[in-house]
Amino acid sequence: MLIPDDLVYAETHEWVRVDADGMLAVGITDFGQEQLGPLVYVDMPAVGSAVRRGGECGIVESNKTASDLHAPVDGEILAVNEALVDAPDAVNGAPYAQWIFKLKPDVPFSADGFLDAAAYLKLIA
Amino acid sequence: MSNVIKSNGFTNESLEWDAWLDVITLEQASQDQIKVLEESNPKAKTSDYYLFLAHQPDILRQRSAAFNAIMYAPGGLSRAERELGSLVVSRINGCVYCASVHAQRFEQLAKRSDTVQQVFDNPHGAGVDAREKAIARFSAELTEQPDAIDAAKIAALKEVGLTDLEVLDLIHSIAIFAWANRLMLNLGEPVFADGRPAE
Repeated sequence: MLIPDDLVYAETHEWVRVDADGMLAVGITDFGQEQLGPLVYVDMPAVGSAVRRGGECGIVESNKTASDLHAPVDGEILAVNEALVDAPDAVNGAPYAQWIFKLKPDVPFSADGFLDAAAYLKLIA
Repeated sequence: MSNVIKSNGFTNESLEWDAWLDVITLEQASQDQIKVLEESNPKAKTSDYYLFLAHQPDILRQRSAAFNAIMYAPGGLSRAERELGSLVVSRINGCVYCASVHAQRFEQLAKRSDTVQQVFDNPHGAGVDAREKAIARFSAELTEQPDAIDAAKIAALKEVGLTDLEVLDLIHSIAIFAWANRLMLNLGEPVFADGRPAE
């Protein structure tokens, strides 16, 4: 199970990467994609939309089930990974390379309230 | 999961499905059968439905490709509305298993179960607003009397806001369940996880 050390994690199985410009990239974890199985559909938030921490902002679906995506912080959606529209299962092959959306946080990101790799491993163990 | 709904023999509870005929065994399956199972569904290797359909791997492969293209193609009709169409068809055709699966998926996507209760009670009048009602009514009509669909019935969908692409997606979603329901209804039966019959 891949759990990179340089990311932080939400209990809802999203990973968050803080880019050099302070923007956040968000995807689903290796554990999350494995629980879902091969993705067949990704519904992403509208670029420019405002999101609130913990709020639902998309859906990932497999033939087995559907799961909501949650915003890690308050902010504005800057971009979505359009490649996933036609190839949602790319997430299964590379869950940490395939960000789903990027957002501009309303305030500089703080890792408080998120899990580091060790804590996330404990969560899913 | 949302509250359990039971009405007219239908339920939104999770069900399993037992085949009446022999399914393939993984130990004796060909490489192609294993491959198509892995392509079809995360649960395929433990599902009687897929293990039976895998007797004909080429047909299962085509079925899964068509199903995914129809139900999950980007753009067009929303996922929840495709599930609603499929749910209505399954309710009218009497497919308790399919109705259960697609009721649950509708609830996951729409974040509510009121329409599911309505479909189980009376699919012809289901829907919480004009758009949902039109989708449910059309799904019922196309299922019960496909030769009675005419331009006026298509126009009724467009009057509540469906685009041409959404109409096409809806018809595909209804049509593929004419197939899916007949497979499920005639090759086995739905059961609860503890083995009790679900019908």
